[in-house]
Amino acid sequence: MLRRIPPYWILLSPGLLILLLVFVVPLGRLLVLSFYRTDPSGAMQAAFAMEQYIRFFSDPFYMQMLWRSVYIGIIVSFVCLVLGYSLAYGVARARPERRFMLLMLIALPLLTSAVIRNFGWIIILGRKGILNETLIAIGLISQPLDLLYTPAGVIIALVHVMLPYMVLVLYSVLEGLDRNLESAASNLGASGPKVFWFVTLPLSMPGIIAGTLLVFSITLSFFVTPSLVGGAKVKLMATEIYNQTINMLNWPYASAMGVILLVTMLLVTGLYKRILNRRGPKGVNLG
Amino acid sequence: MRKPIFGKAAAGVLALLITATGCSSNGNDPAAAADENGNAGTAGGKLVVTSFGGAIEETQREYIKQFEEEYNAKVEVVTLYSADALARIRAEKNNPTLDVVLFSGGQEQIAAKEDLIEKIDPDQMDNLGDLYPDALNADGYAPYFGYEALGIIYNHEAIPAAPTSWKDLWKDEYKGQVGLVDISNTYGNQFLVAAARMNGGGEDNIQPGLDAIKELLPNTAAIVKSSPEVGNLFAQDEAWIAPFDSGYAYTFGKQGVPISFALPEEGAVGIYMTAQVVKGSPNSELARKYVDFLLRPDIQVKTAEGGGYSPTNSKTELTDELKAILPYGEETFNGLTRLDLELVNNNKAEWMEEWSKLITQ
Repeated sequence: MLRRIPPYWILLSPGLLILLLVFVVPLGRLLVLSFYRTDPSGAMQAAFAMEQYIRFFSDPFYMQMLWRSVYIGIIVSFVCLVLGYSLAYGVARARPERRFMLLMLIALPLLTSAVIRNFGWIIILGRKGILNETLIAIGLISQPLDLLYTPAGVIIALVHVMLPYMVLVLYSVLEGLDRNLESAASNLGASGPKVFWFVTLPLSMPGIIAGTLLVFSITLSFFVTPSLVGGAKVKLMATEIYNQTINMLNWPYASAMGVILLVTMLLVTGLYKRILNRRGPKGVNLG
Repeated sequence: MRKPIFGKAAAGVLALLITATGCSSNGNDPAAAADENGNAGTAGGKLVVTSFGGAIEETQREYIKQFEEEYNAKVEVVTLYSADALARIRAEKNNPTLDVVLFSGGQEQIAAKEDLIEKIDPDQMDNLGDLYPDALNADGYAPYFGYEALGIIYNHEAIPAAPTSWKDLWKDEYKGQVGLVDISNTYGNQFLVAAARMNGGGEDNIQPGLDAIKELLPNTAAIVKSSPEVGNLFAQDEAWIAPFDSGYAYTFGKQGVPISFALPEEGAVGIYMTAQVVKGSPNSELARKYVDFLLRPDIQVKTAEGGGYSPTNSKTELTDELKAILPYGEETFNGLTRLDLELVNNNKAEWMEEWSKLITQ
């Protein structure tokens, strides 16, 4: 009997079991809860109703919140991609004995809790914070910029938190690139920028896709930064789900918002992959 | 060549996802810690009491030690906010693991209604007679052992003359300097009610309050969500003036932030602390002694010094320094506005959505 089970199943099963228990089951419960009703006193009633979804989609306030979350996610992913690509490229091209140290430096912030890193940003971004004081001292601005408790501040802090993820993913791709292909291109007369555009960039496409998707999906569900740096005024899906769950105790509505966020994430990432696949230069398998 | 590269990237993604989930769970640690502490039982004449945590905790540890020595008892402390303490005794109704719970948001009304706490016997309490009459509980439960006032806190370096009215917050000179607290926070919520009362509304008619806040928004530097963040607003010079709590003003001040507290002439909102004996506590005798202990003048001086709780015992003498900062005296106590907290709690969900729509950028 045992022989009939393909060997890879034996390797897969422990991980699958954990995923099933801690991911699929709770997610299923979330889906079920999202169809419950909230009665006027605030208690939840078992039901199969679209009430929560109707409330969400019929109120521009929540639709804007969803759009704001996606919009911030896209900006953060893009900024992380530009900054992260240069960084990863630089590390991958550094002398091998230095790479490890550079990578450690990039990964080092991950050893501190995101909460602590965001508290740092509160001190930096404030009206009397380091950033504003410096900019005023060198005469670039005369009035302090409003960064703390604004979407701009949230984006800055999120880029900082997400950058290591992007760099580590891109690095593993750039480092594994076959440099001979670049040499061949320049050998055949391509200029530096041309080599990058037609050889390096297409070959690193899998890393770009994986990195941006990773950053986008973490950003969309990230709670700590919008909560601390954004304050009460910058409302995003993650902070509102928290509010509904903890303060309002409206679990069905929070569940529905969770489901909507998940579906949005899947839609956006699916769309993104499809566009890149279609537009991507020929001959590159984008996986 | 291509496939393995993507495989590598995918493996990296998985590893990172695991790290990421690890990071984001860090924020929930205090709750987990409280649960761990709470699992201990009450056996052996031991007392389990709750604490709000924060600045008062050190003082609490000190006077609990004194209690243990005087009454030859063992006291264990569990850190729980009022709402969590209520949820806890509700869940443990027939088998309580807590003996004394602290409330600061009027939860004793709900607890009394649900028969979760015990009445006290005035004959067994030594200090009841010395309390301000209005500090006693009308239904026979434990009285208030301390109070705070929701008034105006301000940076006394930037604003040398103390504000005198709630209306000062709307003044042009404080444009961009007002700090507000989200109404998911009790103080923020109560200020919204105060704003409604100022303009002819109240607990059952919040709209005038929301309208007033709308006018206040252009003056607002920031809206924060939690009490410690208010201290941060002042420390970082983001705000100079905010409707907030006297006890916190005192503790922020102790940490070196230039904060003073002013009672608005329209009446500050009272926030009252009680310690209640949990119904079915196996050590109710000792628990009552603990409640009585908190009413003693010498202990009230300690809670005032440590946590900024104003005293309710008329025999409590504070130092002049403390009297200058904290609301003090029977007249002040009687002059505080008492909100109908039951009504406030019932309407909270509705207000929350209106508020969110009002303040969101």
